[in-house]
Amino acid sequence: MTRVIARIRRWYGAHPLHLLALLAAFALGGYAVRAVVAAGQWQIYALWFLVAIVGHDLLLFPLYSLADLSLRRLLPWRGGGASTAPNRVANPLPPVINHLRVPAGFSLLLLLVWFPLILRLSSSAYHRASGLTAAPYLWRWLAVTGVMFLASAVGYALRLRHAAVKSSPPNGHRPESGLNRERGRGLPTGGTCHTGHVCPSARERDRGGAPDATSCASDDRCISATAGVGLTFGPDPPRLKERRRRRPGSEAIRDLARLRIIPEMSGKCPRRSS
Amino acid sequence: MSGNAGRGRRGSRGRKAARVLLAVTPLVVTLIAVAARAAAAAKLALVAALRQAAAAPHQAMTATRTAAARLGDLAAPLRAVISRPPPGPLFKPGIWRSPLRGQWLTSLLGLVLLCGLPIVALTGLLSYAAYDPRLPGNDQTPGAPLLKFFLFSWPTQPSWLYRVDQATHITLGLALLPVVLAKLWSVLPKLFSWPPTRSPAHALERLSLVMIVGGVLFEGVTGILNIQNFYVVPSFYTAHLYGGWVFIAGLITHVILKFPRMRAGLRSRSLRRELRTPLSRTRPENPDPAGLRALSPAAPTLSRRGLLAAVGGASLMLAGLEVGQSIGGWTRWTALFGPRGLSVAQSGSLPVNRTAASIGLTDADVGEAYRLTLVGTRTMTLTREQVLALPQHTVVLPIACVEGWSAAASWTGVRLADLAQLAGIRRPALARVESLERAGSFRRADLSGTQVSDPRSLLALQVNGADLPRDHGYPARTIIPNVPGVHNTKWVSKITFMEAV
Repeated sequence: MTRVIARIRRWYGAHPLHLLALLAAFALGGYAVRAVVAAGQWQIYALWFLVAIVGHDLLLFPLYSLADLSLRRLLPWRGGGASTAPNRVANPLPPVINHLRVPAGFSLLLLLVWFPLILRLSSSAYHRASGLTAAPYLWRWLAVTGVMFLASAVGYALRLRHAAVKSSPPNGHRPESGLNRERGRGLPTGGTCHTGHVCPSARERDRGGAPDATSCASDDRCISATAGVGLTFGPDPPRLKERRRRRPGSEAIRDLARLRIIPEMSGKCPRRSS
Repeated sequence: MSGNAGRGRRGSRGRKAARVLLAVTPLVVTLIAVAARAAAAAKLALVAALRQAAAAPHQAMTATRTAAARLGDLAAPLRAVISRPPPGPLFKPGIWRSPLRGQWLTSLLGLVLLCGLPIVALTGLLSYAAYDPRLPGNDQTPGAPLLKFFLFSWPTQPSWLYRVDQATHITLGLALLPVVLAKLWSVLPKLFSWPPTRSPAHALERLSLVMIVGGVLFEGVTGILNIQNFYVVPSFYTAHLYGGWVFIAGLITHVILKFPRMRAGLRSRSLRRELRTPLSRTRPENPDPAGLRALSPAAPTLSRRGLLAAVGGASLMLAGLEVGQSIGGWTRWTALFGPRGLSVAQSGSLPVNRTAASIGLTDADVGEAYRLTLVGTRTMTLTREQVLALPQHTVVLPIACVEGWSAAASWTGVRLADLAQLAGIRRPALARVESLERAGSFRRADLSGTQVSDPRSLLALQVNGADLPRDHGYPARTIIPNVPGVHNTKWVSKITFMEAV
């Protein structure tokens, strides 16, 4: 018996019960489909079923991922995070991207669900059924969309204010080094470099900025610190990729901590010899 | 006459040809694609063999023999097709870079759907049972007797059951849509994994996904279009019921096959910790056996808890802007998108399904000439005044539509049981209620003995203390506790009672 099962496994690729479960499912599904065929007009159902299968993966997904990519390109901060341009102080603003993504996504979702009423595609049938008119739905959708964007903008303004209060100490100077809030946990935090670049500081990342190693790309040792803890992703300089491949993630953190590199690297970028 | 018949036959032949074409086209396209790939592979093999032969004449024989063996091998073309991913960026595994995809996220979304979708499916099946399809005139979807094993005589108690069932079905269904989309997004790279199958088991399993993915979206689309009266899918009941069974088949299999993996995925991270992790500390998940995590994840622009909050928020928004049409009262003002929500609240009247104008009801139909016919052991015809002269009763009952909306009202009229007595039926087993409507699936409804005998079942003449509006069935309509709205027949012209044997 075990030998038979083993042979089936080798040929089929799974336990025979797997096959049994699938055959039962196909039988049930096939029986339901047979009833639809018997009722007639099955071609149009088949067409709609096909549309449903590819509906998200081949229609919606390309649309929304393209929209998201375009949004990210259009924003002044790549990836919605800090600046990637060298020789420029990283943008101290919290990223705006999710404040656009969420209301836009919600609004499009409403449109996706209620488009027959919003676009008045079913207005005559709707009027015959309910005695009501589909006219207000477009305005309601626009109003809800407006309110969501407004709420999101207010939320962003509050975050900006919060960030401004936090980043300007009473004497009005920007700190040389970043807040070492996470030093105890062995994570480097970063700070302002002599070149004016900003390493990803815990403070900025907490505010929502994407970790951004390339702002320190001109300094090798700075790269090694940020790359070592796996903070750098995306299109990096080739050397960075090499390092990441060799020691990804937490292993590297431990290594760095053991070598006592982290405290030195974390506060600020080491001064380049002139 | 003969010309007409000829045209008809030609027309049906044309339709048949179109049908065959529709069925055959995908098959032909697949075959051509496979054949082209196979020919290319064979050519490659031959060219390689010839090159080898030219380079080393003493190996020519062996190489030719190998090539011949490869050409003779029936599986070779298939293997050649499978070994190379098709062109295009989607099939390159490196293109999927979201740092949030991973087994934990997929498992969590799966768990939410595992809790929610069976409720939507069960409330749907209950809704079908509420139509009492075993009564002779009620089944909108005849056939498939094995799928009707669960049917039972639909009770009149509690009177809110259908209302709650249908509100749950629609609202929860809408609320789960963002979760379904997020789940599909989280596993999307798997659609483009190459080779497409590793074994017969894997191939069958992927095929079964057609039932669950196609099923859940087909049900979503047909349901969402139907509640807005957008009738582009013919015969909603057939589509939604049997589509539902296809989905149930897919769901059960998927849960059986994937439950262990979901459990492992949920254990791979802690939800509590994820909810405390901001964007700055959001890291990709660990690689998993299913390969859901990206090979080279990009920098996150959204934390995992942020994604969950967005999906949950979208669910709450969709449900919140609709559910008021089912709860009624002041909440109806919040249902901006429920088809009988804010608009009904603004009109200040009871929600309507099928207006008098839409069925072509004329003044003559409902004027002095109106008669109600009762059929039992004797037949009676009554004017509206004569019905008004019978003992009147008042009940508060909801009308609840299959589309999810509902509203309670106070109805006044004659008990159906009293009308049965008038027609000479003591113990009614069945009543067929017919409307002045000339066409349409619900111009008549069959009521069970339980429904006719319930003291709250009325032939209503008034609602909320005034004569019925014409859109609500003037001169008379039935109102039965706990039935789908369309079984509360409007503009009743005839009731036939049958005695229990």
